[in-house]
Amino acid sequence: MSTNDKYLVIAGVIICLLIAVMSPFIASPDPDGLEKSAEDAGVPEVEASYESPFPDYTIEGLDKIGEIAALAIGIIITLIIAYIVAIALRRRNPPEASK
Amino acid sequence: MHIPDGFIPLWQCAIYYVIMIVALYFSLKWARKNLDEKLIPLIAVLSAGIFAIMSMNMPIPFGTSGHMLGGALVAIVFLAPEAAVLVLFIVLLIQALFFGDGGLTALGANVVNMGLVGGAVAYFSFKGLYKAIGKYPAAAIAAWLSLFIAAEVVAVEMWLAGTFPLDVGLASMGIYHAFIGVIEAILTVVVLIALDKLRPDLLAWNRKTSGGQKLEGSEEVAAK
Repeated sequence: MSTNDKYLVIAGVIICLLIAVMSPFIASPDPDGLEKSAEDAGVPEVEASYESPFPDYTIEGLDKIGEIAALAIGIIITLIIAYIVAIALRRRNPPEASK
Repeated sequence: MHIPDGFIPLWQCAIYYVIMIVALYFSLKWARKNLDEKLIPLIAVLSAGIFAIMSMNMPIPFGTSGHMLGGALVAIVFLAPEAAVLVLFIVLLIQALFFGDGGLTALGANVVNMGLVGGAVAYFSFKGLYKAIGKYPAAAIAAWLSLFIAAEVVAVEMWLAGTFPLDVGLASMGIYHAFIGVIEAILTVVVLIALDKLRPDLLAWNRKTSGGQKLEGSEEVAAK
């Protein structure tokens, strides 16, 4: 990875973590557009088919810190998995266009 | 607009899974051709960024809220809806598996709506508009349209599933997402401007495309 790309990743992670720190405090708790539409249509709430480790982006019993931690964990997992997937799928033999 | 489990009957979920898998096949082909070393960190950072920004629900009128989806941003950064499908698949899979956001059974539908529909609408509207009105206005309209049309597609899916009546679904989804689309448009343009200032080499509209089959006019865009 070039220095420029390292800066990109570092800056990206910093921005993501800032969002994770702010989000539990400033994000709107109102239902999102689809949930609200479901309310408008009178659809009852449904149980999830399976229990995820951090439902609703929280860690049980940890309040705001738990929300920040859950988001931070999610950001790091996403970064790492996307990186691995991108490496696995990357272009193999550089065509003539690249130097 | 993450569809939870239980909103779509399983046999219909299976159809969306099939569409998602076909779309992912094209993403894989795109990646093998275009995803060079330099773009790998960008895919990772955009995925993490979209994961993060989806937690930031912003209030809109009518006591509801919404967040950016990011499919438009990815499609315009790479000038490839295939990239949006790939990134949204990664993000939505992690959200469904670890955070219970969006049902696992509805993963196919969610990737189709936010990645495929969102990415394709943004890509084609950007491509159709940027020469006439400039790249940032085109990106803003493309981002708004991608979110709005994806929401209306969800409304139709909910009708096919027998979950919402079509009129209530189209009206509610349309009104709320017309507002959420403004958030999508602003954030998409802000990120594009930042990337163009700091790392213009990463934007497909500044790159001579190696595949040759992408934007015929990409150099003209760069020249503006």
